[in-house]
Order: sequence, then structure tokens, then C-alpha cells
Amino acid sequence: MDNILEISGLNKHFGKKIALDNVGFNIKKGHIVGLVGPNGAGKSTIMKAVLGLIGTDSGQIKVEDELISINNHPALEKVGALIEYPGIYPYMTGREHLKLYATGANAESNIDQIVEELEMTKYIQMKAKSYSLGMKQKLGIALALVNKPEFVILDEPMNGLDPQANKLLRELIVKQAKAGTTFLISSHILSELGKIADDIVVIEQGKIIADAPIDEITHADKKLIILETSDDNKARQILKENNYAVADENKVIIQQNKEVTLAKILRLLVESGIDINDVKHQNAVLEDSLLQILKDDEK
Amino acid sequence: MTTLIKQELYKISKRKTTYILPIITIVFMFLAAIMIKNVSESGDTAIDSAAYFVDLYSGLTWVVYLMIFAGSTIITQEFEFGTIKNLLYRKYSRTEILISKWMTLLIMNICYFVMTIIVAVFLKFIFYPDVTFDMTINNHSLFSAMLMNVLGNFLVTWIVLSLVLMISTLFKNSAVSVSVGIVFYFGASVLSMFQTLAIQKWDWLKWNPLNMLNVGRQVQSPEMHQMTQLSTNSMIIASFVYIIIFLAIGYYAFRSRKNI
Ligand SMILES: Nc1ncnc2c1ncn2[C@@H]1O[C@H](COP(=O)(O)OP(=O)(O)O)[C@@H](O)[C@H]1O
Ligand SMILES: [Mg+2]
Repeated sequence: MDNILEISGLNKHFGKKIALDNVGFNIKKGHIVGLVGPNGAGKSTIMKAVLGLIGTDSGQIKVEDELISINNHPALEKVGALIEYPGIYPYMTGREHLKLYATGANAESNIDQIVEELEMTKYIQMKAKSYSLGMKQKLGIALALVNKPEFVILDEPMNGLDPQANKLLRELIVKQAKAGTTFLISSHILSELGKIADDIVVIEQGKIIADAPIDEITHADKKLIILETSDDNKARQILKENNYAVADENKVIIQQNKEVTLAKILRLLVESGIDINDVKHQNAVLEDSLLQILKDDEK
Repeated sequence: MTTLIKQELYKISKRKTTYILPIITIVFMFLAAIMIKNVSESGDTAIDSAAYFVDLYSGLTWVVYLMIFAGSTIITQEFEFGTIKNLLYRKYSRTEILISKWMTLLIMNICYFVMTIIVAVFLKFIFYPDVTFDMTINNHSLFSAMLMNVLGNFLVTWIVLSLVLMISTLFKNSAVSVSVGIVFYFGASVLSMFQTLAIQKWDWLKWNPLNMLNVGRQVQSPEMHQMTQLSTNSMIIASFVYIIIFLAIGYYAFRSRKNI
């Protein structure tokens, strides 16, 4: 068995709204998979279905080769999750939360370990009602991880975390993945996951529009040429007239490839009487390649 | 299942109300014992004083309210705090989760009974030293009369509680379910005159669930039959039937809820 999760043909609607439209993808054991898409795309809905929290109209979900349904899901024993926002009892301390859910012989040492790893020692004995958003979020993550699950599902876990906590979490995820834990992590910002994910699943309006190893998605990155000219508007117009794809932004940005070379572009612009003040090269960041994917899909 | 019950009890043990409400109950039992004694100092017979003990100095009524509170929060708070997701996504089935909550309430109910009985015995010794356990009331010894009253109250509690649990799963809102519980329980006593008249007019009305709330008193004093128009046995059976129906509807709603 190399897939820890297999989803196929998943459909789900809320009233008239189609939330999931024939969703299917697999997750390999030990991988970190990023589930990326804009708000309302259906990320949380997929995760809830995987966890047996919501019923679906059709389709199949298997965790460790066992079917998941809302009333029967023993396979979730080794799954830890944080969905949407952390569920917290205001009258209990952080530590009491962890004690409530920690199981097994190593419960106490597991609690100590995760508290230390997420740097929560200072406030773990305080009642959760006094926690800030970020503290609650960390507690939610700690609850998902405390039992050292084999498969961890985190829904927008970076929400509310400061940059330092964000970094801490990434490092922890990478460390645990190296030790064999599988992760499914959602985000509406691709770059947040780009640094750690092995595979990326892109979802938009309930449909999976890309599902590939991160390298392939980053490979889709093309070199961008960014120009500063004496008349950017005119430059864009001329390039468009000559069938170059130009981004509608303040600067003049063109994607470089075999056909589109810097030399050709410069010649064209200079011949049209436009002075070039500056030329920059840039690798398209992940967001741009995602945009590319979204656009390709629309055609 | 034991793990689940332990977790429920753990959560409850961390709630302040778990300690405050029983303390308030004990205070009210004290006040009741003192007030009744002062008011009735003059003309009361030993039997009247014994009847107060059988009612555990109003403690039984308070237990119903404590259980309404416990029952209306045990499910709805999980929705209100967003903890329902953590509760449901584990290896356990929804059936196990819900049954563990029922069992937890049962354990709480028994604890509250034990507490009120102990406090009442204590109050009896302080304020009513002349009331003795071997006195007889309605052909029962004082202690067994009290136990019968507790059992009757247990049935009443669970009629209200099963209704509260049903409302909880349907509306996910503790304010709604606590109000329904109190109105239902309180309404029974307020409406009892009206209900008696209505039952005389429309005989089938005697089967309505409010009438079953008299089961506690009828177990005590069989002459209540005049008012309820039901034999004690029919009332006990009908009470169980209502409890099962309410619990089953709540169970079904909880199990089949498709969106959390
Ligand atoms: N309980 C619900 N009732 C009605 N609509 C819902 C419900 N949950 C989600 N939706 C809708 O389903 C779509 C997907 O939601 P969601 O999975 O939460 O998106 P994401 O997590 O990607 O932001 C959204 O349009 C949302 O409005
Ligand atoms: Mg979401």
C-alpha cells in the first residue's frame, strides 16, 4: 500500500451550491501534500469528508484502504486534524486540552514534547479563554499532533500565526514528514506551502484543476522579463500588437521562452522609439504558475 | 466507550458550574429545611415533617434543574465551542459518542442523588431529630418511601432530559434546549389544574408527556390517580416509552446529521 489516502468521484452540494465536483486524488505515504485554492474552493469540505464529518452525495474515500463514512471510520484512529478553526473549551487550560485527547502509554511525554516543539510552555497552564488567536491556533495544531498520528490533516494552519510561529510550524512539519508522517495541508496561498510540499493539488470551485509533484508545478515557471521603459503603456501596446503576451500590470512583464527572447523584444521596442531604462529577469513565483494553471484550464 | 465516558467526565470536572450548582442546591436545601421548620413549628405533625425528608428538602426538584443544565450543554456546547469536530473525527462512531454522553449524564444523575440524599439525612438529624427512619408513610418505611420518591424523580428527570437531548441535537443551541427543558418541567406544575380539566374532557389527553411528569408524585401517593387518570404502572411504562422515543429521535438526528 503506498497511498494513505485515496479519493475518487467525490460530489457534494449544499443546497443549490455545488461544493465538490467529481473530486479525486491520492496521497502517498510520507508525502506533504498542499491543497491549494481560493477561499470557498472546497478545501475544508474535502477535509471534512475525509474525516467523516460530513456526508457526500457520491464518491469514495479510503484511508489506509478502509472506506470512510460518517458513522464508521475506525481507520481515523491514526489521523490527527485541525479543520477551519481550533475547537477549544474556554474553561480548560491548554494542557488540559492535550490531556483530554492524548492517548496511549506515552501520553504525558507526548504532551511535553509537542508543547516544547511549538513553544507553548509559557501559556500552556493558562485557561484557553485568555488565548490570542495565534495561541489558539497553535493549541489546535498541538491537538492534531499530540498522539503522533501517521496522517495529519491541517486546514489553513498558518492562519493567525506570526512569521516566527509560521517558520516553527514549517520546520516541525518537515521534520515529522522525514520521520514518516503524511501531511495534507490546505492554504489559499500557494507560496506558503511551496517551500515544504512534495505534491500540490489545486482546487477551484470544487474541481481539481491540477495535481502534480511540486517540481512539475515549479517547472511550469517561466523566466519573466521585466522592463522599465520610457513609456510603459506604449511598450505594452506595441508588444500586444505583435502578439506577445504581456501582463496587465504597472511594469512591462513578458514571459520568456524559446520564441520570446529578450533580443527580439528589445529590438522591437527600440525600433519603435522606446528607450529601455532597465531590464530584470525573474523566476515566476509559484503564484504566477498557479495563475497560469488556472488560465490554462479556462481555455 | 470507557475512554469516551472518562473524557466526558474530565471535561465536566473542569467546569466551574459542576461545583457551583450543587453548592447552590445544598444551600437551598438548607434554607428549605430551616424555613419549613420555622413556618410549621406550631401545628405540624411528625408525618408532615417526614414528608419533607422524603422530598429531600426540595433537593429532588433541584436535581431535575441540574440535569436540565447538564443535558442541554453536553451536546450543544460541543457545537458552540467548535469541539464537535475533534470529538467526531476519531476512530469512534457517532453512536458511541452519543451513548457515552448519555452514560455520563446517568453517572452525574446518580452522583447528584447520592449527594442530595446524604445532605438530606444530615439536615434531618440537625433540624428534625424526632423524625426517625422506621416511621411509616403510606405503608412504607421512611427510608424506602424516600428511595421510591427518588426513583419516581429519576423517571421524571429522564423524561425531561431525553426531551432536552432531542432538542439539543436538532437545534445545536444550549439556550434553546435549556429553555425547552425548564418550560416543559415548570409548565407541568403550572398547567396541572388546566390539564386535569382537559383530561376530564378529552380522555386521550391523559397520554400526553406532561401528564407523565406526575409519575414521581403518583409513585408516592397513589391517590394521584384521580388526577392523572392513569394507573401507576401505565404511567411508568408510558414514561419509559416517551424517554425511548425522545432519545431515539435525538439519536437518529445526531447519527444522520450530514453537515457539521
Ligand atoms: N455548511 C455549509 N452550508 C452551506 N454551504 C457551505 C457549507 N460549508 C461550505 N459551504 C460552501 O461550500 C463551498 C466550499 O466551502 P469550503 O470547503 O469551506 O471552502 P474553502 O475551505 O476552500 O475556503 C463554499 O462556497 C461554501 O460557501
Ligand atoms: Mg476553508
